[in-house]
Amino acid sequence: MSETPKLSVSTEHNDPAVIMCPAGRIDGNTVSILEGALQEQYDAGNNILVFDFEELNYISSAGLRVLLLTARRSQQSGGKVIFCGLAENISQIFQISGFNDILNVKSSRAEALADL
Amino acid sequence: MNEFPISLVPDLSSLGVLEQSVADFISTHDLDTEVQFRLNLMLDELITNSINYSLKAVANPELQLLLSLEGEFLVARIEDNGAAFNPFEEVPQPDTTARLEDRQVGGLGVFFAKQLADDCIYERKNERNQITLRCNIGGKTHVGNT
Repeated sequence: MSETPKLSVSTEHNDPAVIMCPAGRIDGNTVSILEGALQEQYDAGNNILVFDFEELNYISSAGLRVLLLTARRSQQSGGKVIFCGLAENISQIFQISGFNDILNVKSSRAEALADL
Repeated sequence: MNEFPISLVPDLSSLGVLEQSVADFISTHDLDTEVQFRLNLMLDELITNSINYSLKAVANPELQLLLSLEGEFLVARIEDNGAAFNPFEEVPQPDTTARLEDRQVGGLGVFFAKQLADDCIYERKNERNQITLRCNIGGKTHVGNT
């Protein structure tokens, strides 16, 4: 059974960072699309990433797992990962997961870019 | 009329069907979008568990979801014919205070269900796993359509 993917990931370059903009839903079925987009950045040597979640309306633990691994990987390689634009529901999930304490979360893209 | 039985294909493509089913249920009963997000997340996580663990080695996997309203409670039941698996006891609770370097990546999904539902019940009945979630949505619904 095939259906239109419910996630697309666009990227924007804003030196020294790459801004990742996932639109739609990140769940166990779509997370591989995010992983593919991240792999492209790693292959290109980009480890300073800003995730702008403005267009993201859902994320499950399958997606959170990838975010956690991405943040850890960047930290270990001297890079940086910042998250911004979280909708209230997603912000609540970050809170419950304790992610607000271990990840760099800003309210807006401007704030995220100012923190690079 | 306020019960929604849904048969799901037991692979991860069913998460899209789940999303639509939850959206239909929410709109039929005029419920809040916050309830929709919460319900979707809990069911997504538990159904993903069923598919990845209970139903993994089953020849004719069956997966069903039943959504209903009982007074002020939204009740969701997930049933599968897989190996006995109680996620509420068998999945270790994540340490949500561990540092980034030490943080384990598993167990969050079941933890969400425990955090977001008022009751999480596991039963093994007729060789089937039956998970029941009850959420008090009093104040998050308009007039009930019973």
